[in-house]
Amino acid sequence: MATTLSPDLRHQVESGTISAGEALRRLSRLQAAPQPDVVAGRRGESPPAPSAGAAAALAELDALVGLRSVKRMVHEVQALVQIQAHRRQHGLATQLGTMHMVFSGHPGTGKTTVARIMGSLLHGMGVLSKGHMVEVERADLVGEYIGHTAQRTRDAVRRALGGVLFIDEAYSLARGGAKDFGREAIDGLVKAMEDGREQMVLILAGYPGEMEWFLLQNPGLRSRFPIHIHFPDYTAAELVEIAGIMCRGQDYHLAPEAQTFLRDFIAGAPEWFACEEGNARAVRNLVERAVRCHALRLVQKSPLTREDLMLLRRQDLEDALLTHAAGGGGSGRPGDEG
Amino acid sequence: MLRVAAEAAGRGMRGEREMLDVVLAGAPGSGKTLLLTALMQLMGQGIFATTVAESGRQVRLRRGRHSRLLRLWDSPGFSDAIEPDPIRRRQQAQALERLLAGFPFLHVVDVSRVGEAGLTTVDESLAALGRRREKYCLVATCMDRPWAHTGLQHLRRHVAPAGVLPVCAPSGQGLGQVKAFLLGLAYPP
Repeated sequence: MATTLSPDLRHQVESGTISAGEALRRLSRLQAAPQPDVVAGRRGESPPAPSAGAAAALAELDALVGLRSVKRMVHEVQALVQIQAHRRQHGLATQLGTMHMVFSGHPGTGKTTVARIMGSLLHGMGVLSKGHMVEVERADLVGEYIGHTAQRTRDAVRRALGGVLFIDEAYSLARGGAKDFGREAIDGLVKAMEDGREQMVLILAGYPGEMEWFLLQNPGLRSRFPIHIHFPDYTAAELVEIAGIMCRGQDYHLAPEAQTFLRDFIAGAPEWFACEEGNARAVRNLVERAVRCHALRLVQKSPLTREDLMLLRRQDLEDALLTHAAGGGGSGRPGDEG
Repeated sequence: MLRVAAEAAGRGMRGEREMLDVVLAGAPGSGKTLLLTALMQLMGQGIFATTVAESGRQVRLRRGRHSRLLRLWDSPGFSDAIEPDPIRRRQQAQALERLLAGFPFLHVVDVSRVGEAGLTTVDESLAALGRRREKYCLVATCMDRPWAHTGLQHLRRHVAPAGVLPVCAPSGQGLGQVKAFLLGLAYPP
């Protein structure tokens, strides 16, 4: 695995996308092999160890670009679960409590991705029996007549038992006022949290300001969500790195001049990428448009080399931005996922 | 990668035991170049003032009737800041590539800095990488500075219980042990 990543790491260091220290950390993690627990090994014990699934989930998390504070929080959760297991083994009191979470951040900052990883991690740690993720939004929970909402909410909870119930734009449940059926969904969720504490992790996600407002609406909500994780906007360098990864995933690569252009463009219009347009999602839309512009540029050219077919040039990005400005591409509308 | 593969393929073509490549890696200012200079002097080679990473420094390691070429690769320090100089960035990338290719490496740590401020994240990563390698050695430099002994104790207890080689490059103290380690790599039992 590490060998296949080598050209990427080398290229990223050489182009100044990531620091050598960061590359080294990734290299070190990628070459990580299961290690004996040094402390416990000395005592000849066999402590509860996270499974390969948990290690894979953490490796997937650590491989994500940026998100340093998010990674730290997830590692904290993992460490807490592991240490509580050790304490239980030694007959000490354990206080794992509820693991419900609030993810706040702008669209495209990785909330959905991290929620899915969290499910796998908690499954690997033995907290959740399945670790799958059920993603719902207001329309999936709120019904059209009295009693309908409770039923739909119960259905969603039942599907999520043993895994993660991820509610995107959760604040919209409280948006419609006191007579809105969204309140009924919230009540149903609170009840499900109390009933099935051990069997499901509920993750509420949405914009930071709106989520803060949402937690104020129901006095019992905040205390039921002990883990709050804020997803910061990506920096220009991180977005360029993400663009490179997306390109490589489709057998394209960004020419160095295109990378420089993209970094300068993002740095020159941070608000365009950072908030409403959706961070990584905005980059994904831009790359998709650039792929179409690249095709248009090459369609009349002959013969075509392999390099021609793979290389996205600065011109393709410029054309992609022009078609976006002219309304000719995907909008990167916030709220698709996140 | 191609270049490193070519380096690896180029070894052993001189009708003698293949060349031994060893990388010196560490944080900026940890004393890699000073250590390299001191080692080369010990083994009868010239003096280098600044980091030379483009081509490794070669020296012949002899044991009895046997002789083997050793090539020591200096590298610019790894840090969490993105290096502004493109040449040094390329050198960093090459050094990373050599580590990835499995070259043996000397992990050079300014032990006085460890004693005073703890281990850097770069050193933690290098140590984690080294723990999974057989051909790895942690060299604690700057043993003549304050806090060095506290740092050495920390390294021995928490980072590399298997072994740390303390060195003071200017006085030459401890260099013999590093040379012995290199000889061990060149002529495994």
